Amino acid sequence: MTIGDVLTLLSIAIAVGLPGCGSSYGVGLVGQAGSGVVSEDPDKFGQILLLQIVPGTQGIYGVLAGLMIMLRAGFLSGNLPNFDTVKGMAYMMAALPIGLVGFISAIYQGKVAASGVGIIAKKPGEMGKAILFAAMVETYAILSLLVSLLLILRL
Amino acid sequence: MAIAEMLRVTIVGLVEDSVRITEAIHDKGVIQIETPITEEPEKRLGEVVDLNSRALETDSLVSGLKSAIDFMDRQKQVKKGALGTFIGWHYRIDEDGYNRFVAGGEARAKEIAELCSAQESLINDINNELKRIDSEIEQLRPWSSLTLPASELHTLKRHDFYFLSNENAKKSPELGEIASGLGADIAYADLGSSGNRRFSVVALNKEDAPEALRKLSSMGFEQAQIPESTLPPALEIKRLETRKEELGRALSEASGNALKLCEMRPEAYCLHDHFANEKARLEAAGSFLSTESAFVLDGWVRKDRLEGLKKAVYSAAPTAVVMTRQPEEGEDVPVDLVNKGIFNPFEAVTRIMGLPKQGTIDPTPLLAVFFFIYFGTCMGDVVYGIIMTAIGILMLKKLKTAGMGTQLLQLLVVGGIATVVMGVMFGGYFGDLLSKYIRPLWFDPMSENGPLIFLGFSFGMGVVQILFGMAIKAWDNARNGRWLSAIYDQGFWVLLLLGVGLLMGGGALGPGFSSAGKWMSIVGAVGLMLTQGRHHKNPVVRLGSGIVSLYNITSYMSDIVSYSRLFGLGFTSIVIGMVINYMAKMMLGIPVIGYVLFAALLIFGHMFNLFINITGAFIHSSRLQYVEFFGKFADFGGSKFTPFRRFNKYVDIDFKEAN
Repeated sequence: MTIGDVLTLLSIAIAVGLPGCGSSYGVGLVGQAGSGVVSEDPDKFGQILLLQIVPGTQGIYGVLAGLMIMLRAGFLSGNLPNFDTVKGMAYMMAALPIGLVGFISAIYQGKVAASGVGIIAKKPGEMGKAILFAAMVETYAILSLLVSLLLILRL
Repeated sequence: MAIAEMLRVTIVGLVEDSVRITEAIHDKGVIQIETPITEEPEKRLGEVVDLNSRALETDSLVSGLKSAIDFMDRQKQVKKGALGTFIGWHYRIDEDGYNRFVAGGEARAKEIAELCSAQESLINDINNELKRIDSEIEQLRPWSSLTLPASELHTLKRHDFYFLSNENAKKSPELGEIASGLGADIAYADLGSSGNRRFSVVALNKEDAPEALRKLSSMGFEQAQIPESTLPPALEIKRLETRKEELGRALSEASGNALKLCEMRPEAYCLHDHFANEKARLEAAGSFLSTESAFVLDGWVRKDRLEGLKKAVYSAAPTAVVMTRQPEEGEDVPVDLVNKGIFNPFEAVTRIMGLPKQGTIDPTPLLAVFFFIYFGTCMGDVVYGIIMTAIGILMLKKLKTAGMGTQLLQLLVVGGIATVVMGVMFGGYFGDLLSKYIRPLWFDPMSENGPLIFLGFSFGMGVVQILFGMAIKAWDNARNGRWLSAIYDQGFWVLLLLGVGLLMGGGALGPGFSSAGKWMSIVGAVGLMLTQGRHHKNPVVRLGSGIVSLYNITSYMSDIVSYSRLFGLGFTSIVIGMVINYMAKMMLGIPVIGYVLFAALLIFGHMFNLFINITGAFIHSSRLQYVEFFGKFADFGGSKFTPFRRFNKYVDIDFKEAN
């Protein structure tokens, strides 16, 4: 195993780990806010669950980027890629966009979605708007995923 | 396919027909009542006929039934099913059954409410007593070694008895060690301890008692209360425990009876909704303007529903008059959308955003094709599409929904079809499960250049939709006579954007395209510079703000970049599907149960992927309409048309087919 391989593994950790942390924070925040509403009105469970999964997508994007690195580097087939150090660092750089933006945007998306729980509590008919506010934040996660993916596919 | 045409309608009728007319329009449910606001205090129908007190009476029936239903729900929850919690649960009943229950009328409604509230207070009383007994037993238990009733220990001539408890017995001195230092006549008995707490009873002579108690308290001996009783604590506890058993039996009997009361639930539902509707009618009727003999009501009605309304009103009261007029300038006319056939489900997309203003364009038919393609692109899997369509059709058949619910389910069906179409294009069949056998019709996103083609396709859709949106705005300007605006605000921009596009990518198309692009951009840019500041008088400011307006090109660029989400989401669903297949195939290596695990992982994995992507696909396909598309032409903020109609909170009546 080369240093390059270890750095590639680190790039997978960045891609999967950071957005995963952000998403678990975001999803957790909406869950906390939602539990308060559901304790008053259990019928709103379905709506709030839908809102809760919105900040969860960054974690999935992170896994996606991580899996792409595994595929490209050949970890999934069970062989070590034997990359040189520069190649390993290049993978790390490619993982940074989704790692960083996924982390931060999931936290903010969680906050927006948690505020959206208030909309569902007071005006259940306006759930679509609550989800859209949260979806606005996701744009940047998607853009960074895009850049990370294109880089990984070209490395 | 547009915003419905509204008419202002005025109905005049005799006071004695008022209830019948209100009932007719309530059943018909096509008129939005406008309560007139008048400067002078006018007479309301509620004052002429006694409607207000009847409304109050009905209200008390409704709230009685509501608390009865809540009580039943606390006894036994209704099974609503997973779907019910998502789309709202109703008790389904046929028309005859509903009418039979409603025939019970006020008397039955009161009876149900009283039965439930009596049972509830019975259960509450038992529970309260049980709680009280528990706390008494708790208080008595430490003193159970006392062989006299506590009440008898108060009756000496010169001495009083005090019950003491010491919270931290280990750290404080024994009573015997300090008794002599208290300076009072004292006799004491130790009654044992529980945990750290030590209990004792002391007798003190009356004069010295306050001082001695103060000293004792400073050493940790606090005075304690014992519940009054004529029995010694141990016996009293026994008595209370017998009582508790009796109460427990009574409680389970009462709960059993309460469960039996739950059988009245369907009846309570029907009566609740019946009287809630009656209350709404009485309240609405009460606010109509009226004289001693005639009343008048104002409202909005959709033009295509007018005939039905007239028929209903005239058959309820032949002497009534229905008059209509066109809306006047400046009136806040409510907005309702009419989209038939294939466009109807897409109305849900528009309605989530809100409603366009009266007199503007309904974007529903315009967004339909784009939404279809976007949704399909984000999912892009034939099998997923078939599953979605099947679920959608099944739910439409099985569930009785109306309005938005139906439209969303239809959208699921349509989205499923879109997913199949795009899946065939991309060759997605449960991810890459069948990609060895079935070639994609267009391109494989996982091939060498696949991602770039996919990204280019996303941007291309963005360019098409944005230009389309601007074309709509230009057409809207032109039909309203603002020809110059159409050329200046949309025409030049389209020229500039197309020109820049050609300038950058035209070289690939052939010689000449690039230079054509150059000239188009120059004409467009100069045109914008000269016209975008036309609202200013000062020529310098005019040119300046024209130049500054060119900066808006960044917003068009970011609009187009935003369409890359189609690639992001589409690619996500494909890759995750692929990885699920990969992991499932690894299971095949396990002997014997390998195939079972393979199938289980495949099914659960793909269901998970489907569920995650369906929400993402819907949200982001909608967002592209709202922000990037509607922003170009639509004018939202219309007020919603809310007709006065029957509303059932609990029941869902299956009406027999009208013959």
